[in-house]
Amino acid sequence: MKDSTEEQLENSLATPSTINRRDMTKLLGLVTALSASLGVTFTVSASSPAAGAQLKLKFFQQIPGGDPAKARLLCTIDLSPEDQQKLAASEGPLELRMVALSTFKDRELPAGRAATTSPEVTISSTTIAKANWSMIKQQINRRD
Amino acid sequence: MISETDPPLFNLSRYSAFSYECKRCLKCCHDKRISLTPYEVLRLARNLGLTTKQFIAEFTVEAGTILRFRSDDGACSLLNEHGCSVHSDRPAACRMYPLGGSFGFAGGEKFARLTPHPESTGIYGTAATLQRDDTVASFLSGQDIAPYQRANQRYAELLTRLIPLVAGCITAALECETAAGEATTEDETATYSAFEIAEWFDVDTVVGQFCAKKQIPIPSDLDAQIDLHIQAIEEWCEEF
Repeated sequence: MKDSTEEQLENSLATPSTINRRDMTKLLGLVTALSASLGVTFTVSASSPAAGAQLKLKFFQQIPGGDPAKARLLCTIDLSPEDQQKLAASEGPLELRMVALSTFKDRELPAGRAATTSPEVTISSTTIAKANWSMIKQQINRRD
Repeated sequence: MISETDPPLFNLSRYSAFSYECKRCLKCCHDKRISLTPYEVLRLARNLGLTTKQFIAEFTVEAGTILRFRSDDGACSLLNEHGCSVHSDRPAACRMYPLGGSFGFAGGEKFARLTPHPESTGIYGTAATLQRDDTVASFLSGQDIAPYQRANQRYAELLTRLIPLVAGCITAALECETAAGEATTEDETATYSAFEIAEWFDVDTVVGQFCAKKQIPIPSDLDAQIDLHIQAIEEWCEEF
């Protein structure tokens, strides 16, 4: 039986969606075990940007039902070398999110609680498959 | 010269020329690390007439995820004087040997030719002996790995749904811990993990509890049991 201190600790660590430390560890254990048993690994895909490539974000105006190749370029955003390095070094799929800053005031929070939410509002989100998850199945020598 | 310990090069496709004839020298059944999925644990347990809990306890390490090898002679714990005692239900890695397989979650596959044990008597096809039909595909077709790939793909799909959930939970929990001035110690995590991983890979228990909760009979078909195992995990995750 749990003592009151342990119960309080678990409750204090519960996330807003009610997961407690025990369940979180259980979930982590499951993901770790499944990853290990499947031999999960990352493989950078051939479509990843090559090192040193100039990365830009381009916005096109498309005509509904029209030829996508004839879309009109509206504007281009050049990414800084530092940002390009961060993108190149990241693993896994990337999410490109277009956000707008909300003009609403932060919602009121209980005393002593810092705001953890951003006033940003996501307008659109696109996932870029930069890397591919793979399963490796093979016999491995124990001294490897 | 390629050493047995060099990392394999995944540069073969299904259409690559390949052949291998096993001579049952059993060298490849020693000193290996073979990972097991819940599907493989289930098949091996059924072959031996055991529950998954019994199989995990007796024949695996690392809570059901790795096949146990004997400490004295380095042999697989499922090997007996006649060879593999579970040959018809052997793990996918053993079926594919001496190939390794890399299977993309989003499709695509590559294979590697693993370097054999220096004393192996298995015979590899050479340029002089390979026939037109000797390919990776023809070798694999004789190994019946398709059911393993199907099950693995299903667990891979489950994993892709779990990873964002984990990321969200960690972020939220860290925020709460920071607010509470507490931190998870490594010891606490280790204690929970060893126990909980074993629980998840015990397919019989997970499916049994799930069927009891749903008041449905436990299916005898292995694929149906895997369906329910995945469903049980998904329903548990929906609580978060």
